Amino acid sequence: MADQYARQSFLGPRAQERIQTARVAIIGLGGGGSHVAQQLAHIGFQQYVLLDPQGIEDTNLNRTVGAIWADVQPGTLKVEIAKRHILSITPTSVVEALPDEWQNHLNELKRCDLIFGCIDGFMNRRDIEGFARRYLIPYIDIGMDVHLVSGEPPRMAGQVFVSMPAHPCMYCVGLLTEANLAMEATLYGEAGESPQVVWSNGVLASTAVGLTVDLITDWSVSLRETVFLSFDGNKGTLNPDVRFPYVSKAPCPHYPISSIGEPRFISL
Amino acid sequence: MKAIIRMPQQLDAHIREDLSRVHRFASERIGFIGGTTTRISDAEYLIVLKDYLSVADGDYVEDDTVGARINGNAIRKIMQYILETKNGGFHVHMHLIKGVPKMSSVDKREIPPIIKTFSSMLGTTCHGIVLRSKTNYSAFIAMPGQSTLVEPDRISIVGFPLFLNI
Repeated sequence: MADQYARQSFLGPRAQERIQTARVAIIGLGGGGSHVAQQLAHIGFQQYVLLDPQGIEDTNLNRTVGAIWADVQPGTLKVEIAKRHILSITPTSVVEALPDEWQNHLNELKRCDLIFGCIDGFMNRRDIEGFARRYLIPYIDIGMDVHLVSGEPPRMAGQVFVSMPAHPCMYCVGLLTEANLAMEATLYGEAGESPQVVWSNGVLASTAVGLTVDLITDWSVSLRETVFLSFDGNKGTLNPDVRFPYVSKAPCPHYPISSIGEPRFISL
Repeated sequence: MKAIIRMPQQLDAHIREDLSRVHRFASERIGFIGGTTTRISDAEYLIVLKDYLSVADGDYVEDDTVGARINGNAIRKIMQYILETKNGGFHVHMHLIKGVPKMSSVDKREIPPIIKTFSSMLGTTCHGIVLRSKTNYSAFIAMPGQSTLVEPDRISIVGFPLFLNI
């Protein structure tokens, strides 16, 4: 049998070893996370921690990779669908499928080399990034939304953000603000019930996976700073966010390196 | 018992820069890294390296039989750090080779007793040794309350790019 990964040998002489030994967590196995899981499996990642408490519903079939109609009636767990899909591509993978909120499995996450966040909500993003920074884990965030603007077509937007400890965080780049955190409950997903479509999730997931492979293998020898890309679903473009050139490249003041590691009480 | 070690790339760069400085008589330099330990399962620890303590020029001792020897002042400073912060202490130096660095016979003789001292002083955290080569890393960890040194399963230098040892 020919080497399964021969067509990606350009990634470097030991790249596949790095890929195979990397332990990745995917939080959220819906439209974005299911795409990420599938692509990681094709690339040869072999160690997964999957976190999502939800079972599949008929309204998820428009975008969840690996989900089939027969999963709807029993409400198959999204993590089990992703696990099934990963193992069908790479049977030797070790997949820890946890149908639960990520906050209940912090130790499993601490063990991971990378975390993908494919979840809704600004507060959830903030909490995952804070956790990842404390335990020195790169965090790759993807997300999309559709907004209604009066008298205009719906506007589809999204982002890919690579959050690296000590580098600009989601607060630094303006992805998280006190205002959007406060307004989340009333405005997020105003175009309906969390509008999501497969093609935009695919674009964002593919980009995130590509950046991750570059991060681990350094094949391009060019990924040297935070990535913050904005997706314009109406135009079909993905570009560096317009705010990013104005972001300070100084060490992140929100999550200083001095505060990494396990917190503890020290007597004064 | 297993261990995972992570260190920010910026700290690694700072350590490399410090250890690369020429000393008046020592042929290499030594430093100490401080790090926190988190127990993530019954059999696994996560060590996050976060601080660096450079050894002062005046704390080296002339000794032609080894690359570098440090005095009691240097050891006392790192012990004071361990005492105050409750962080683990990790001896670090460089081997100017490519590939995975290994402990020399001098390293095996001289450094483990220092780590044993750290473990005796603060037995609730991991301590150890970090070796850096031009291209790679190795580490030898004393688990909490233990004096035997074991190699971690994973060493990550976290930054752009992400270094994962294989």
